[in-house]
Amino acid sequence: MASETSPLGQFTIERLVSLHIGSLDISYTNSALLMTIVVVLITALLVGTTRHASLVPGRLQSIAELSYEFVLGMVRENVGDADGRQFFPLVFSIFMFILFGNLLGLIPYSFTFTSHIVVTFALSLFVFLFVTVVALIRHGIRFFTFFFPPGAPIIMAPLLVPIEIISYLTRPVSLSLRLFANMLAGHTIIAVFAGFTVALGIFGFLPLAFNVALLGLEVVIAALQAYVFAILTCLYLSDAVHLH
Amino acid sequence: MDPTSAKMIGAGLAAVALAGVGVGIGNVFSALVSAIARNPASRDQVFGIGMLGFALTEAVAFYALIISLLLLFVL
Amino acid sequence: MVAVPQMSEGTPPDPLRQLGQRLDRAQRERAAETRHADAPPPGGLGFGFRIGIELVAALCVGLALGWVFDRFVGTRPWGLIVGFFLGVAAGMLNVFREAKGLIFGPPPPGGDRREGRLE
Repeated sequence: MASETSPLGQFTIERLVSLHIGSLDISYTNSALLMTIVVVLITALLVGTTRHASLVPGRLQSIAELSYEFVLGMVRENVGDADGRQFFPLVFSIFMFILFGNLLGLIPYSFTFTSHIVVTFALSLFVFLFVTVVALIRHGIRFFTFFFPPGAPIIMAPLLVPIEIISYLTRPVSLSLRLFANMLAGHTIIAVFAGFTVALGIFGFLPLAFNVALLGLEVVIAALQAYVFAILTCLYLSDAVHLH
Repeated sequence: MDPTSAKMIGAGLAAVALAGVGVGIGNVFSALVSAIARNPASRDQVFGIGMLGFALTEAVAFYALIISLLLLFVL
Repeated sequence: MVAVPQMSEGTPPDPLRQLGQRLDRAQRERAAETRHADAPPPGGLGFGFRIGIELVAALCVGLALGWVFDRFVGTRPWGLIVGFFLGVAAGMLNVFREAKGLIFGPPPPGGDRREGRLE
């Protein structure tokens, strides 16, 4: 779709190892490679540093412990103590996966797998279906009373219920679109200004300075987008468990 | 100029209206923040009016979107 | 001999146990407070990210549902138009709810505590 030299060329999927099952293409792509690296890195960080854990943690062990406590606090505060304990592994996995994926994508010549709508939509669709199934299991048929807000006159039901259903179905779309748009836009702008830096010759230090600042902002946005995804997962879980 | 290109240019020009919408929404929320900062107790009343202002200003953005879509897909 | 205070009815109270209960309750309340105080304040860039995309996403979902409805029932273009307006309404509702949560703060904790507060 986009040529190698255009700003959108950085998002092309390349097959590293071609595999096919019948007509199904399950090649190992650069996106899959980055995901594997992310998972290996997270596992190495968490397992490796806590294997011989010391009471006064060193630097890497501190990182592992801080991230664990941060997500645990977030889940406990938003979902509740007892319920939060159950959902903590899911939220922690999602948070670390997206965080490391976003951050590793900022390395030059690397690939940001969260800049593809199919990846973010898969994650957010999974979260949405999981939350809906949890709500159905906990509340049974009373789950559908969620779509009729309390205290509204019954005559407005034919108008309110479709709006509430659309509002509920917006969740996976907004969750995926937010992460995808931010990653895509950030990396595209960096690539565009990098092109300017080369094209302007001697005056190329101006777009270069902007790129330096933008790269710093992208690190913040990478962490923030992972945090927003995780906290929205917690909020949807809290909705499923409590307010239905 | 053939009609298809003219339609596309028209659809792009319709998006210029979003500049005014951006300024308007910024104004509404700046006034909202100032009002709540001056008198935090007025939060309940001011918030409703602020949301109304935001919704009406955003409606202008939707008019621009409708015109743009009309030009591209209907006319 | 220690004089134990007697009430006029029932068994004599155990002041140590009462003190223990009051200490437990105070510790729990203190823990809940500090947990809420540690949370990052709402608002800021994260909140902007959350809200900014809600209106667009709701519009997309409304249009998509209207289009799918049109495909199956064949009422072009009314399905799209109705879907558009419903999507706009749903988006505004989402934004309104999130902004209300920001400006008015989270609801006071009432669901987690089962016992009433006597003091």
